[in-house]
Amino acid sequence: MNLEPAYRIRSLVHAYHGRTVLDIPELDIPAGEICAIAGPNGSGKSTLLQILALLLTPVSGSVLLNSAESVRGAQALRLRRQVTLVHQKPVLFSATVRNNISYGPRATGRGRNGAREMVETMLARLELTAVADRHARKLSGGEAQRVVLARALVLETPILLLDEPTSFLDDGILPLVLNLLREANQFRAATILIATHDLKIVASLAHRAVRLDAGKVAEVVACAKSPDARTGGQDD
Amino acid sequence: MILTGDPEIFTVVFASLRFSLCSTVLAAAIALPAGVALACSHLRCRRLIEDLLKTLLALPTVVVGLFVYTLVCSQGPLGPFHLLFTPGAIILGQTILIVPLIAALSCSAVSTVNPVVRETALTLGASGFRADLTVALEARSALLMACITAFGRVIGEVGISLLLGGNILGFTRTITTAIALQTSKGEFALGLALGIILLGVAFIVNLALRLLEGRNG
Repeated sequence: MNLEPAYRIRSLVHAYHGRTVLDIPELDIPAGEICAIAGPNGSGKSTLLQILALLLTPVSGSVLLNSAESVRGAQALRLRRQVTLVHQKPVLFSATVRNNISYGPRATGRGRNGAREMVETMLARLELTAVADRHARKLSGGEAQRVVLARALVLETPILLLDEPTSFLDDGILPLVLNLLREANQFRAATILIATHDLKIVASLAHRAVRLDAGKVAEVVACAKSPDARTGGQDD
Repeated sequence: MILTGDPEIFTVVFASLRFSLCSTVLAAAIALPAGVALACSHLRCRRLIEDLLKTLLALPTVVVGLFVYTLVCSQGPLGPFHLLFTPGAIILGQTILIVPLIAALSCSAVSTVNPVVRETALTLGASGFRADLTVALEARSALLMACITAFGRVIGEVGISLLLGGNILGFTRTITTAIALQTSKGEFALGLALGIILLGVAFIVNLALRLLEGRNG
């Protein structure tokens, strides 16, 4: 497994209205790992994911994505296209389920036809084929969350950021989604960061868990899936 | 008079529809992108621009007519184009009248779209421009309503058409200028008939656009 960091975070500080919500002196997220970001509500998980998705510029500090710092213009777009974020409260576009899922491939220039097979495969894998032509805003909470995950997974970006991705999923669908994430990690070496409260997900998926508390890294723990854990090692 | 199909009525109705549709399409082409861009921008003076646009909504049509008159009269900068008392002058005036209206309404419509829509588009690999377009598409019903409102404003205006068109029958006479003329001549029946037609046209256009909007979901 490639342990070069996907992200190098240095002296990262972010604040809203003068209140510091994130203060991380140093943190590396190794490439090709599944990393769980745990912590209570308001601990800065969502803000961290937004910064890692290059949607939010921190007040100070640096975030290097694959050794490159985000800048403006075409290079920023190229970097941003390496990352996909699934928001905690995701929105579906006012279009059919199929058009929602094919949005990313179309936006990145793969075209409707070029991505058709991938979109159809993803629809089938997440059991969405039956609702593919339905308006996305008419879906149940669980179906909507599956569409959001399919929309992110179909892009096959090297880095996937998921903010509470399973909160609306029922127990029947959950293993399906976990399998897809596991596959993305194993077969594409995708780096996956999951902000979650769900310890089951941490235990069954994560190589490493970062616990945030009041915007600071309280601990970094190698999980059972991690090579570090298998050798008894532990970070930091 | 309406039922017997008076050709004069049809001429002015047709002219009104033609001028209003042209000016609405032209204004929409300018003001929709401007309104969307303003709503998606992080300009410090955005509020000020919005306030200015809202102020321009109160412009009386005769003032716009007078302003365009100074542009298109023989001594004006557009004088060599001989636009005065032509449909082109009316369309120009009406376009200027409704550009702020469509821009203000579209800016306000796009501002109400959930900001996560833009972030989602960006994180799915869209460029900034495409993300703005996605946000605009989310507000398409409200943008359509802005155009309908603008159409209603121009089809019912009289100041611009009268000042810049000259009320020439078969050329620049519109429903509203015809009503003004017939009323001044004491021909109240024709004036009222045209008033009813004006309302009918506005109703049909609203209905058609509403149905179109419903079909587009």
